[in-house]
Amino acid sequence: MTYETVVGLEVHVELATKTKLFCECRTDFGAEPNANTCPICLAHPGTLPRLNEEAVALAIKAALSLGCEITRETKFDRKHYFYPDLPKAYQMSQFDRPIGQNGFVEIEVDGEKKRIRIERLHLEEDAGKLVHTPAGTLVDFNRGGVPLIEIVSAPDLRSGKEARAYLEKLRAILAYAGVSDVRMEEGSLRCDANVSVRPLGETRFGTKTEIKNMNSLSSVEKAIEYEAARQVEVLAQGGTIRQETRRFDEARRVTVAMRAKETAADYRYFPDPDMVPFTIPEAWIDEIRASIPELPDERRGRYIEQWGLSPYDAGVLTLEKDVSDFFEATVAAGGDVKTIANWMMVEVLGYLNKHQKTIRDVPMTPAHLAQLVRLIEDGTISGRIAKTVFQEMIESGADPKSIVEAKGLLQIQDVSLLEEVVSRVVEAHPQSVADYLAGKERALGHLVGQVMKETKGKANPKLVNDLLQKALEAKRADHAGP
Amino acid sequence: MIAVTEDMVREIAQAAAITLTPEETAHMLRDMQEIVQFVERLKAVDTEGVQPTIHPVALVLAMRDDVPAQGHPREALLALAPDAEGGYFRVPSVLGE
Ligand SMILES: [Zn+2]
Repeated sequence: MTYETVVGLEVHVELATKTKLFCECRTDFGAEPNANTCPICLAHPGTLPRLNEEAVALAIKAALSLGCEITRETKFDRKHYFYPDLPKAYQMSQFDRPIGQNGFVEIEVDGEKKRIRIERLHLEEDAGKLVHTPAGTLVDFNRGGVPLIEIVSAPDLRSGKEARAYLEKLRAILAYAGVSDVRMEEGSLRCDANVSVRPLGETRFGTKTEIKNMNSLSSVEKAIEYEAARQVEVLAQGGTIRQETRRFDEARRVTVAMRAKETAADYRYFPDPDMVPFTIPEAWIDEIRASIPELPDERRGRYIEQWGLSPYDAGVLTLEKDVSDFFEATVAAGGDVKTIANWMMVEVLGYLNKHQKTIRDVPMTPAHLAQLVRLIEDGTISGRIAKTVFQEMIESGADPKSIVEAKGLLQIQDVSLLEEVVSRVVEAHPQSVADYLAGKERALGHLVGQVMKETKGKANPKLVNDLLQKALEAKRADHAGP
Repeated sequence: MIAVTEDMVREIAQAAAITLTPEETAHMLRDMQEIVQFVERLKAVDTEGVQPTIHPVALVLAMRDDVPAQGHPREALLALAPDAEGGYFRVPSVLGE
């Protein structure tokens, strides 16, 4: 029997505010344990929450960027559970009136476009961090009370690959909108997946499991693929799927059962009596809508329309805001757009990918990349030398001109000097010459290679090509002569 | 109408991490039955065409600006806890998740 995978994602994103959701503590990442705490976020009796307006504004901005409707009259609800990371023994969240509802994200997988519905987007506070030691559990409340939005997709995803594409797109939209720095490795974007399988053609959903602890885009994809295969295997052997929470084991690439899933009723949601409901004025929504900058889909469209990039290239270059901003700054610094796009896609992204770095981690500037492209365009260096210069440039941050000068990499443009090398090569390779004259065009490539080798890659390849052809045709004339 | 039972009281107490004596359970049962009866009486009111209320008092929520305040001395906050170590609060071990 053929099965179909059904996935819905719950994504938590930390909002880029300076202070927490209900108190004036800072939200900085990496502070000393409990340095950013106060009686409010530590739940001392008698304290009351005071809502951060910026957090609400960013949540609205995120919701609008994802095409959500805004719930005009909204409120906070208490979600109860007992765990030491939650000092109040409840989390301030939103139950039946989430700030945003009915949005969507467009994804494209293997050339096929698909719209993934977003059911809801709500505001809530983050919990603290636990450190388990033999001498007890240690608690750091720096993250406790930091504003989060939770974005819940409809079960519209059909594979790990689609889930990854959705997450990449969601991350891009939120980064462009400026609501969060969305860094999975620092925990400012976290993702849980609800996974089930069903026979192809079946319209009812199978029993789902919830997968936690996925720390990267690729682990989300792998965990979902593994979990779907596990469920199919269980069903194929006549078993049933248990509704439970499972943890992804990154090292072993498997999911492991954690606990039976609590039902929603266990959380005993009720409206928070410390906060009054609030109305979001239409004018505020309009103001926020007007402040939303260009989002990834628009930017991608602009690259295709304005710069003639292919849809694929435009997609790759807009997937990460930092990369896209770098690309635009390079173009602004001067140079052929398509050449720059090509360098971004092949060399820059290739390097970042290989070294697991982000564009912010490297010292290279857009002005340097633009300069490198111009050095190739004006014939100062060959494309091959440019790759050597690029390696050094992206690692050291030095400007390409100084690298070229310091290493003596200037391209040889001197015709008389190259003519000398060409005639030497022609003399040294009679077989290739004979092959060429016998009509084997490929022999020319071999001879060009020899000249490049003699000049340590510094010869202008086009010039070498021309000179070689001239020399060879002269030979032909000799042979044909009287 | 929902019939409140002793089992239901015990389940709710458990969810709230409260231990009840048999006397307290009986007392809670009586209270909760009365609350449900009261809600039943409210249900009789005709609310046709009335907008649902999400809060009984018409207050405007005051929000605050996103400006950090001078931090609270961490040592003083930690000192109020039963146990702390190295800047962390310490609680009894939470066994594997
Ligand atoms: Zn605080």
